[in-house]
Parts: sequence; structure tokens; C-alpha cells
Amino acid sequence: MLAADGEAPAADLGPEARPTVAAVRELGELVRGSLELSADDAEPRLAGLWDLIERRLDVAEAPAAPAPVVAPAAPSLGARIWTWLTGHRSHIATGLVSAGAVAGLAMALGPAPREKVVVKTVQVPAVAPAVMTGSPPEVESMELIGGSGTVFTIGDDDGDGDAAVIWVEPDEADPTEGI
Amino acid sequence: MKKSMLAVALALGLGVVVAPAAARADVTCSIVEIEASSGSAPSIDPELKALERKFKRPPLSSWNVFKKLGGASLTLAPQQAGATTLVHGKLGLLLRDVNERPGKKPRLGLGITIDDTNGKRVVDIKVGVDAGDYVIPARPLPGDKGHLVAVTCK
Repeated sequence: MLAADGEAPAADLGPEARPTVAAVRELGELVRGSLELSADDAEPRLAGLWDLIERRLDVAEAPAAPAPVVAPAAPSLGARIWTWLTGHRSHIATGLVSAGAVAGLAMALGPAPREKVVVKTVQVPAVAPAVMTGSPPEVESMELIGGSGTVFTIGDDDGDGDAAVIWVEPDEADPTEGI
Repeated sequence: MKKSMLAVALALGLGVVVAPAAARADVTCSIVEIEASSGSAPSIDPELKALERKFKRPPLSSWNVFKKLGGASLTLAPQQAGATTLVHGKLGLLLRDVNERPGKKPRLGLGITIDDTNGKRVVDIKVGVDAGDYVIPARPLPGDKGHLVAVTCK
């Protein structure tokens, strides 16, 4: 290859390498010729490309036209309020904290709320009073000396209670006594 | 240790629960001695107003004049006896027991004795009455009169 490229003297080549070098040189001639033909074919397009690049370079170097001046739109009322709030948020936060502290102190140190008494007249349905039931008196044993007895029960007339009357009848004197 | 503390707490709790029932210890009894007779003009002692309706029912309606001879009050605990002197003798009263009943008047067990002026026992009865009810032993006195002793306990 060095001999084919001319970098090594051809005298150093052996007889068997001379045809190979000649073939390589011929092949090189063919490739170069083919490439030159292709370059010739592409030259008009490359020339147009160069013109295009040149025009673009010219445009880039030229000063840009000033943009048209557009007047900014007037902000809306909400936007202005928001802007004001965001601009004064530290003041607003300080005010809120102070108001909260004052309210807390007022609640802690202030007088207790007075009880509100509302008098309402309510109709209450009449309820019968609870009546404790009772049982009549009961005589469990009765011993009457010198007489006999009868038990009368007088009922509860109007809540004054029952009454057990133990009626004692003296024994009559035995008419045969002493005979 | 825990068991003993639990027992003490239980005993205290039971004491609190039972205490109100046992709290009713004393009963006050009112004794009114009455002389009854028959007269042309009916008359009832103003101090006997509470018994006026009873006097108009048989057998007490056989008299129409009622005069209060005296009165006494005895405060008794269960199983406690008391006595009071009457114009016509003496009355003995024993509070045998008090039976508290839910929704009903307490039931009182009473023992009543009456001795005449000579000290002779003429009445010896045991009755069970509701609190506020009357027990009225009635016996004749000379002169077609009656001797009533109204006993009521609350």
C-alpha cells in the first residue's frame, strides 16, 4: 500500500507485488474520477446553499426592527386589591394577631356573662296527686275484762283516716248470782 | 387486702341504702280522751273537729254531745311502750312494729291497754292500723255516758 501511495520507492517492490500496486493505483484513479464527477454534479446545489447561507448571515448582521409599542392593559379592581393586599400582608397579619390578643384578654379578664332568666308561663295539665292507698284497721287480739266487745270500722270519709271503734259492753250481772 | 377493702365498701354502700328505711324510728301518737253523752242540744268540742265526721257515724252517733277531757302525745320507737294518765283511768301504748310499704301508708302495730280509775284493766287489744288511722276504744260510763279514747299515730 505504501508503494501504491508513493510513500515507498517502487524499486523495493518484488516482481510479484508490481501487478498488485498497479491494480491499486488504477482502482484509485477510478474512485477519484467517480468522486470528481459527483462533485461536478453537486456544484450547482452547493452554490445555491452557499448563497442561502450568505443571505442568512446578512440578515443576522442587519439591526432588528423595533417591536411595536403596545400600551399595557389597565389591571382590574380585583387585581389591584390583591396587589395591595400582597403588598401589605405583613401589616394585615400584625393587625390580625393584635386583634386576637386583645379579644383573648377581654374574654379572660372581662366580667362573666350574666345569666338570662326567662320566665315562661306554661300550662301544666292537671295531675291527680299521688294517693297512698291504705288498709282498714285490723284487730289482731282483743281482751276485755268484764265485758264483751264489738269492732266497728268507720271508713275514711275525706282523708281523715279510717277508724276502728272497739265497742265494749260490760257483762250484765248474773241474776242467778248469789242464789 | 383488696377483698377486705371491697367488703368495707360494700358494707358502707349497703348502710347507705338501708339507712333511709331504718331511719323511720320514732312514731308520734296522739291520745284524746273524750266523754260522750246524749243531750237535747248536739255539741261537739271545737278541739274535736278532726273527729266530727266519725261522731256522726254509728256506733258513735248514739251520742250527740262530745267533750274533750284531755289529751296527750307519746313519741315511741318500735318495741317501746308509753303510758298516759286519763281522767277516767290510764292508757298504756306499745308500738310493736312499723311496716313501711312502698306506695302505701306505713302499717303500725299497736298494743293498747286501758285501766279504769280503780286500776282494773278493762281493755287490752292489739291492732294493726295505717299511719293516721284511729283506734277508738269506747266503754260506757255511769249516767248513760260514754268514755272514748281516740288513738292515732303517724
